Amino acid sequence: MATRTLESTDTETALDLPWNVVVHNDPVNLMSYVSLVFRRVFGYSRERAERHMLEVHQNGRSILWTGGREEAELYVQQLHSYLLLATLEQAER
Amino acid sequence: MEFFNNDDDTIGFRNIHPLLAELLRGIPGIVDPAKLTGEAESRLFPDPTLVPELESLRADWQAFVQPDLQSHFQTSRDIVAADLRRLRENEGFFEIPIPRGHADAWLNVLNQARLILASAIGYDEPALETPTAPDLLTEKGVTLFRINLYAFMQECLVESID
Repeated sequence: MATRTLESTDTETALDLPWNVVVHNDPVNLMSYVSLVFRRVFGYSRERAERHMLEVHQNGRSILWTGGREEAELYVQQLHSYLLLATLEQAER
Repeated sequence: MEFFNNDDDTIGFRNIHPLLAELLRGIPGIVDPAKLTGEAESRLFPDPTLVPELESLRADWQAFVQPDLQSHFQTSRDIVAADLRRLRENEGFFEIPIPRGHADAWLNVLNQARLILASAIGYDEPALETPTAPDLLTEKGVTLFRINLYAFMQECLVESID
């Protein structure tokens, strides 16, 4: 799938804070599928992927990755391509 | 209905009851983009952020990312539609061979179908998660049956990939 760099210029955001990639729970996606996607997109071990999957399932969301905005956007795009509910948000201080 | 995983590059489903074969043939119709409701479209193309202030991100996403996602989903739909044309009868039941390399496309399209169907019943979480058989005398029950059938297929495919 082609990727593209977004060049948003939201002046409201603090430039120094990293960005979280968050996956949200939904009642349709299968747990086995979600775990597979986490391994594929982030390269996580089976154990780590399942930990995050269970956190999504039990707590409603899980922060899968934290880092630069550009990379966070690419991860969210990949997760959307797998039809997961994913968002990016700036990490708290 | 059972899943098979051959030593060659073929996976698939066999011993498919004719009624279930019809539900498989119905997949392209469910995922047809021309038939998407607003709610289903919002789920297939969700917002990239919940932060209200990031309007430019949302605008960029809609302009640049969503077309890429649409293209990706369409490619998957085309692959699955082509594979479904190979659904064939064998002694009263049906079987469908799937090239192993098409597993991801099937996972994607089955997920599209399940999300679209779930949107039609308001993402009724208790109904979606109940282990009991749905009431097939109701439209909602038939929808749940389809969601569960496609989920079974997804589980088989995930296991074959893993």
